Amino acid sequence: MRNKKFKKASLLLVVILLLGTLFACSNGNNGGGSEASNAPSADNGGNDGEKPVDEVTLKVLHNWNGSSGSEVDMTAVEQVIKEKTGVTIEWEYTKGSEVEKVNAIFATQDLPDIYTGPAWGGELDGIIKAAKEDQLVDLSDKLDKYPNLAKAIEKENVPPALYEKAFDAYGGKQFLLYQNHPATPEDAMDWLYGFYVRKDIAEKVGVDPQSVKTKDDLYNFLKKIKDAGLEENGQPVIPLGGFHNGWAVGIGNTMFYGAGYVDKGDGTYENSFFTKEYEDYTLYYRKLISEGLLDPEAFTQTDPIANEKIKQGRIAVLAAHFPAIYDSAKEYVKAHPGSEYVPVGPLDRAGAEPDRPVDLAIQGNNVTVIPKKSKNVDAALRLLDYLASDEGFMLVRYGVQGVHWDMENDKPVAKQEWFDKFAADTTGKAKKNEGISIGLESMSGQDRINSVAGGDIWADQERLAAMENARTILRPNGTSVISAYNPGDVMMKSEQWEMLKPSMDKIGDVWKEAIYAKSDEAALKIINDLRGQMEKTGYKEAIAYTNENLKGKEVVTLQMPN
Amino acid sequence: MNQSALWKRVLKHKLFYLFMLPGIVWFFLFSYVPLYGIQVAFRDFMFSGGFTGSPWAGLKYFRQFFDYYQSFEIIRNTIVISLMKLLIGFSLPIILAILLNEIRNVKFKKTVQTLSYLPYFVSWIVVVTLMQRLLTPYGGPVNELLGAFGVEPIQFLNNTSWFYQIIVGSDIWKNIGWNSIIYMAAIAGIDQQLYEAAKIDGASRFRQIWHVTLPGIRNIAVILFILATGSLMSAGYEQLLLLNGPATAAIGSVLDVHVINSGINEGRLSYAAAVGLFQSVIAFILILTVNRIARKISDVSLF
Repeated sequence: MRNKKFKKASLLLVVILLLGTLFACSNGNNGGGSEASNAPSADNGGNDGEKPVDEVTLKVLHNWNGSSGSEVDMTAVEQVIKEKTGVTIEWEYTKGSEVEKVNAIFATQDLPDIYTGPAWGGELDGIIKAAKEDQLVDLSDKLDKYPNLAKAIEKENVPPALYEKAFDAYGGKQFLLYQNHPATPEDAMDWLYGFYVRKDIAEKVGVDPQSVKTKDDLYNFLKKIKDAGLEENGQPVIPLGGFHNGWAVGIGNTMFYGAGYVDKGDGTYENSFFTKEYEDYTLYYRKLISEGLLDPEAFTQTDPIANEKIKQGRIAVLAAHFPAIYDSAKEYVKAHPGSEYVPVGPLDRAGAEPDRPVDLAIQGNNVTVIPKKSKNVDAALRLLDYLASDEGFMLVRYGVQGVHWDMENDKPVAKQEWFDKFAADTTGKAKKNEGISIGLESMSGQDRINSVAGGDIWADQERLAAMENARTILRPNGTSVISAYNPGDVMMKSEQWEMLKPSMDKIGDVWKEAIYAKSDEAALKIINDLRGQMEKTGYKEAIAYTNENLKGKEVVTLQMPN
Repeated sequence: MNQSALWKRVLKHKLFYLFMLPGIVWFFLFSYVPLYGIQVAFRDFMFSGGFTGSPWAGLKYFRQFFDYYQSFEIIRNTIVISLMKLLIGFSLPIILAILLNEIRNVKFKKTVQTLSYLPYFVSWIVVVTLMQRLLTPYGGPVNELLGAFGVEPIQFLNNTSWFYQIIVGSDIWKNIGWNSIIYMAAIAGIDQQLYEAAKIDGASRFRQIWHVTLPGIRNIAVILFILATGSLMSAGYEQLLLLNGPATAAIGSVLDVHVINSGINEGRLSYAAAVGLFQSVIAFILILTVNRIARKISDVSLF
């Protein structure tokens, strides 16, 4: 009897295990099943609330690493969007590499109804590949019904090189939508990349940060900090540091060469990686590392570890953009008044006259596409067009009018109770739970934060003032927006590109490897090895093609990080 | 044994054979079904064409790999790290199993056993984060301790001088307990009469280990060694992805990480499949070779 029971129990266990294995292997099929339909809806873009709209839930992949949503099922902002468009949004946020995500969704065909993500790098390459391989909805015959979307991808609203590379590259078809490109110059964001030093440390070592101009000045300044033997929390103060994976300690390159491609003097261009200046730049950083002036963990650390160092006051000079530095140091500065980070320099720029405005590439940061497998293309377009309207833009940035803010004298004004609530919440969750900063802002058309929305109503005034102060120091001659051609974008069209790209993608890794090399000779060998590989995979032919196609065109030879 | 007799035996013990089914299904689904994806290595993979509809590319991606200026370096690094792990890491679980077998205090033995298994269940990301915290020159406890003896802070991670020690040491720490289980089982299966006979012959504890325990686990050790040679071309991607940095790239870039980077991060799926296939073919050849050598030398082999 016991034996029978044992047998039955064993059999049951085997069946459960087997079913479990099979179930785990089954495809989740997120494709939409019976709901899926690409049939055009009777209502196109009706966001006035008068016409009935079909209610649909759309899955949106927000492909920005680290982005996150609200803790509630339906936020106030999403409720308004549902009322206006009939669309309920189901979010998916990327945790990890955005490039990996974009490649994975198309390779596995586990696609969202709307994809939105970075407008650069491997992420954009993945989207262009998907467009060329017929994976995306062609919007060319639909956009006339969605004026807000059409406007953002008009030729004059997209940087020329990006336009040629990603928007006008499919024989008249149109697959990509474009967001967050500044609608007017006053909407353009200058992130104020640079080296920033703790004010109290600069005072301790007796150096005026504004007196640091040249690469030698910067080296001597860092050396003085190291030699001062400063300590915080019982630990030595690190002269120069950055954030995750070395972001953005390498921005000192502008002291050595002007941009990614340099003018050889005969009207042709060369990738800066092949220049003597690039070698000098590499050896300079190698010296910083070997002499203990640059944090040896800078290129391997995660953001939590980087932030921990900053919060403990252990980094003297930080290289990154202003908002990141200001936010990460906030806690320490609060506890130690006078320890705020202030700009170093402005540092000399290779090849630029001292009175030249800072050349910045300003472009939108986001592209949105609708995969062919989207369950309702018209609902997706209706949603995106509404978000790109002025009303949608204000909704996703500021919240619900009448609830979170009011319009006074044609200007949006935050309601004090919400301003106080958001200001008191350092986690940002309070805003997210209302539907602000949950990813909708990535899909809200051109950036009109100043020209239409009257300036960010939720902005921390102290932060804005500090940023203005940094701007005064770092941009004494103002800024100038780059509209010239980037040779890199032209090179991508050469027939050698497929073979060459893997070598070109290695430049950043090889530079890091070289600055850790045991000797200058070893560092140069590492660089020369990659140069050899690039030539072997068609660099010479590709740069000849690039130079041929750039004849008569204005080319970017000076560019600061932004 | 003829076929009908075999089936009779299977039917008679069907319940026990049924227990094998989940394992067979697992291997079928995860090891055999994906084999059809190998063709991607010979095709220009396109999102629209998928595995079977993308155009054929011949050996293009294999050529690309061998034309790549670091391919030799990557293969060399993989083999060096794997060999170190194999040569050092293979014998230690055997020693641990023998030592544990000799402990007479059951409670102590169980505690040591459990503690040695635990690291196996900790993911590499946690292990590496712990190592970063413990080994950092900025206030890490290891450097603090060394500092107490007057030693200058050492940059253990991201340093070529310490790279192999860190890689092999952490791998052994993580896997030694788990890998010793099979040897513990083999030792438990040794006929106790052999030990008694050895004792009567006046064998000491060490002699008993030498003449009874080691020969008793020899077969299983040889089989595990043959299987381990199959992973010589694979140095462990999680560990290397996390512990290798720009400073150690010259000796720490390995095939597994190269495959992940080129496939998933760069979107070169066909190239990654080609490198992965190359890795598997070499591993297969290695297993066949070592299996043949083992059969000649010791009469123990997988097939």
